[in-house]
Amino acid sequence: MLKEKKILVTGANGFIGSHLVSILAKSGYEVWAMIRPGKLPYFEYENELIKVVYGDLTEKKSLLKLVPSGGTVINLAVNPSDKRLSVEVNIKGLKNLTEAAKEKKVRKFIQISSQAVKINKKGRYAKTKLEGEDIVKNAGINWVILRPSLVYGEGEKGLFNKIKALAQKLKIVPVFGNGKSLVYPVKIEELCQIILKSIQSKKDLGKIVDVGSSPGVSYLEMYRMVAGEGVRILHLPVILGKLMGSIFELLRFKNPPFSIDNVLGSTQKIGCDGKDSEKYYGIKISQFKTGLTSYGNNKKKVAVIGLGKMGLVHTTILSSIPDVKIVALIDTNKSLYSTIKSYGIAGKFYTSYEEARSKDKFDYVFILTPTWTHASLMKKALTDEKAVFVEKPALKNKIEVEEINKLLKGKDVNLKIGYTLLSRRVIRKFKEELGSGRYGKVIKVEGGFKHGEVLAKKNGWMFKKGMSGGGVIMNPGPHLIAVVNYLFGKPQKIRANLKKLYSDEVEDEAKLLFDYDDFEADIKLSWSVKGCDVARYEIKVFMEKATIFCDGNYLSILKNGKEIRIDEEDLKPILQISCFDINPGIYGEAFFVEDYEFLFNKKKEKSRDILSVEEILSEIYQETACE
Amino acid sequence: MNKFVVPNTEKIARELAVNSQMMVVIKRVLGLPLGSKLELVKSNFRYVFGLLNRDYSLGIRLLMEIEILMNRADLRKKQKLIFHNQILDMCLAVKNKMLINYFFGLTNKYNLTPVLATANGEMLVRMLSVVDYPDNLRVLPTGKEFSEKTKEVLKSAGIKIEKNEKF
Repeated sequence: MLKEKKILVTGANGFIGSHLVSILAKSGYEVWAMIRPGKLPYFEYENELIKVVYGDLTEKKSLLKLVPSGGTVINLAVNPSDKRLSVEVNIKGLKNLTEAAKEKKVRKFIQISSQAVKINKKGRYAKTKLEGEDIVKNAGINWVILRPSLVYGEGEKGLFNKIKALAQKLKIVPVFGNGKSLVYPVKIEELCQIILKSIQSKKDLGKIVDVGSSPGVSYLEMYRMVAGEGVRILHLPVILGKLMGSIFELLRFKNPPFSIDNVLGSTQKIGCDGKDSEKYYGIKISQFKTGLTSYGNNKKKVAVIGLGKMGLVHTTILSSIPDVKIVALIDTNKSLYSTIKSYGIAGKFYTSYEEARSKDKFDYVFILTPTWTHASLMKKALTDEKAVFVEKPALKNKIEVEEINKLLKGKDVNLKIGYTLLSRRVIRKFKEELGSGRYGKVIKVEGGFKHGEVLAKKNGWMFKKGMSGGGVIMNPGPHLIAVVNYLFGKPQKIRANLKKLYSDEVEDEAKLLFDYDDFEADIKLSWSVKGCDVARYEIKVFMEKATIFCDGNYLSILKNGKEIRIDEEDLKPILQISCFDINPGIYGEAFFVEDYEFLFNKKKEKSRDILSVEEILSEIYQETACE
Repeated sequence: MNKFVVPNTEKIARELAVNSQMMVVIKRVLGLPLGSKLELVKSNFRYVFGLLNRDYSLGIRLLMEIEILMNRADLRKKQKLIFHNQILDMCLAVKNKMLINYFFGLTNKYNLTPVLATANGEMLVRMLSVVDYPDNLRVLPTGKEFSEKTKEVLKSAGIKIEKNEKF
């Protein structure tokens, strides 16, 4: 790594720092992200270009080890309000850092200051930040001072997000004074781009650069835009704000809702040169309204229908993906919403798809309701040209399959059925091995599903043929049938023998025989196996030169008397991104992969292939009577 | 030190197959000794409104406290209280700090060692960077090992890592 590519970022755990560290690493810089000893990183530290380092601005010795010789220093470390620490960090600490930078001959020192240094009546933060600017100017190093206005963006940290959280929680936003003072908000991504450009810029050396949108907006306007509908603005006298700020300080609030400096900064006139960023870096800062509304524009907007067990699983996974926004939560049961909302899931609640569609915009629909409701919901969403994810099995009988196939005919659609096993590493590897040509032709296939779930007569929609479509074949069975279909395609002929043991309307056991060109697949399914507490799937493929077995956890290849075992965890992850695992016990990674591929894979499946498992399922019941 | 996992998701799931959520809670409360019942009422009095509104975090908190009280005698010996990864990981995904804080509150109240079980090490680290966690906190990788970087940052923060275990 070139010396110029090394950067020390102090204050890496803050709102700006946590965004900046990722952006710098993505741009190829080796980032030493400094946090205080004993603290945990808030930023994405798994990137190989990001190194978490521990240091304290008040200890010059530790800084000498961390400042990269010939590299760049970006100082974001600040103490906003503590009487002692604001001096220790913002002044003395900064002095230590600039001295270390001088000693290490850094090529550039980027000091992130604030617009607050311009106000007449300064609080502790503004005073120490201004004093800090003088320290940088007189340090005998190459410097630039950036003075951003209020920085906004997504996340939990920073003043802006505090205001937003307060508005959402209390439905009130306090505004000090008349709220007419101007502020020049800057989007976090734009500020980071400016810092990125500044690293290589010579034009800005020895300059103080204003970073803010122009013209500004009044605090009142800004709060109204942030708060949104249904939130009241509460005007408070400046003196009361100062008093409250003092109380928070006196009581040593670790994370006060606002400080005296916030009150002073929002009630005095500040002029910000909006053209500076364009002049030095060719970046025009977005107007606040444009910038604010741009958030979420690039995200995948999702509506989730069905807030039961599977609804909770998928909404949780979707919440873990930063580029996804759940906009609508749909269920006929209103009481489920209060639970799911209190759990932390975002999105507005609707009692029907029609209501959600008329009031909100979304492109992706997750149908996570019981089987008998799927067909009508799929028809509506597909007619609206939405991308549709449906829990398995998608449809309950041949009539429904024919209706949906008619709707899909000739169209390229994004429709996915939740056959989670197909998103398992080991199943993908299974297909790869079968197609490798190393083992000759397939001679015979055996498949099985066993569980001890139904050992007496049970009630519920799953046991009513008209609602579920069938028993063990329709509920756990489709997973296994989907794998067989994934590996070998649709059989030419199906023979089936179904048996009721405890249920009145649906089969508890099934023996299926799938006829292919050169071989047969013999599949046995039962959810009434005594003593079988855990559901088990397995497939054995007898080939000319080997026998391959898979139970979902591992793949075993028996060839020439030798067994090669490939475990799921030894295989490369399917996605090259960090996957959220909702529960390793149920192979949570596969649920994530399934949702992610549905949302982000550009490849659309041919419409005739999508419902092939449903076609097999309906054919089984078409041809067979239940004993 | 011995271990105890809360909430017992498998047992609750089995009970939910035959009972309503309310019945699961009532049955458990009725099984408590009088002293524990009073303790539970005292501890949850301020949360009544939220519980009636089906607040998820408060509901889980209540279940965890019932389980602690049900096993109080054993817990004197079993000092480690493990927060089940099935619930914790869901909290991490939706950034639900509240429930994690409730768990810390319970371990503090009953003088137990908090252990967070997770399959998502990096997400846990980021969550812990914004909550006040107790000094005796331990974390437990479940299902898969933490990355070397995750192990490093946890150790630097003085957080002990337990041996990988699946529940």
